[in-house]
Amino acid sequence: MSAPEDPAPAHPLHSTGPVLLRFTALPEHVRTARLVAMAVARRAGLDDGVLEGVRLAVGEACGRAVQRTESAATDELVEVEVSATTRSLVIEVRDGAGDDGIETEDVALLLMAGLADDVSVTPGSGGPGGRTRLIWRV
Amino acid sequence: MDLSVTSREQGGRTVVEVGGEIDVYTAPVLRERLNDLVGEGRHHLVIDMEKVDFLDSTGLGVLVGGLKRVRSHDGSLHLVCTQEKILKVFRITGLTKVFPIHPSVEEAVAASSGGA
Repeated sequence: MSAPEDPAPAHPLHSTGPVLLRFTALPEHVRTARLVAMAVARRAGLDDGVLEGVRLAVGEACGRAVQRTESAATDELVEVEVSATTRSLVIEVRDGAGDDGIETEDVALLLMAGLADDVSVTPGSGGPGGRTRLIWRV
Repeated sequence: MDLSVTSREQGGRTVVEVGGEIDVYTAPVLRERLNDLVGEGRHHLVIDMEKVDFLDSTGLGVLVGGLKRVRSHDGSLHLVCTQEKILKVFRITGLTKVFPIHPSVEEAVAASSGGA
């Protein structure tokens, strides 16, 4: 059955071009990444309640990327890309840990799944599990 | 560092007041403080989270570690939290079933002293 075209959202977001942040894989920079993602999400017009979820989910994704990078003993930077269309906010966190990145606990994934409308973890440029994509829809 | 941890005795319990952000960077500080307290023989902890602005999965891991540690000494760990954004983190991860969470320090101390 073909789904009809989704109607325009009642409260569309402000579409923005992507914002890109690259940081050294250190725990102290995760807060900076959270603040940047929150600022873009706020600018796009997401509700305050949702913003808290963005803050936490991005922190989890970046914490995971930092821990994977540390465990792989590489100096690849972690990359965060935030972009908004009228319908959704998309945040992608990429690391270059590749196969050597040890997976952190499932709690981070559980939280991301509980906060974002859509979560996917796929291979990044450095290998498996290097790309976390979070989507919030309006 | 955007985290503060102070402790005091109240009603025979050790109340640990935590403020700021508990995340992948600051969680080790909290872990160390809880370990120190348990090492000093303080096995009944009430952790006041009312001034916590942010809590992530590493912070949860520290709290679970603290709970395991006090329980190994027949102790207890109660939380104080009324903030919806923080409670949500416990709910999503199913940890509301693991931690007794109270609306005030007084109620947490009373519940803890009541053998809960």
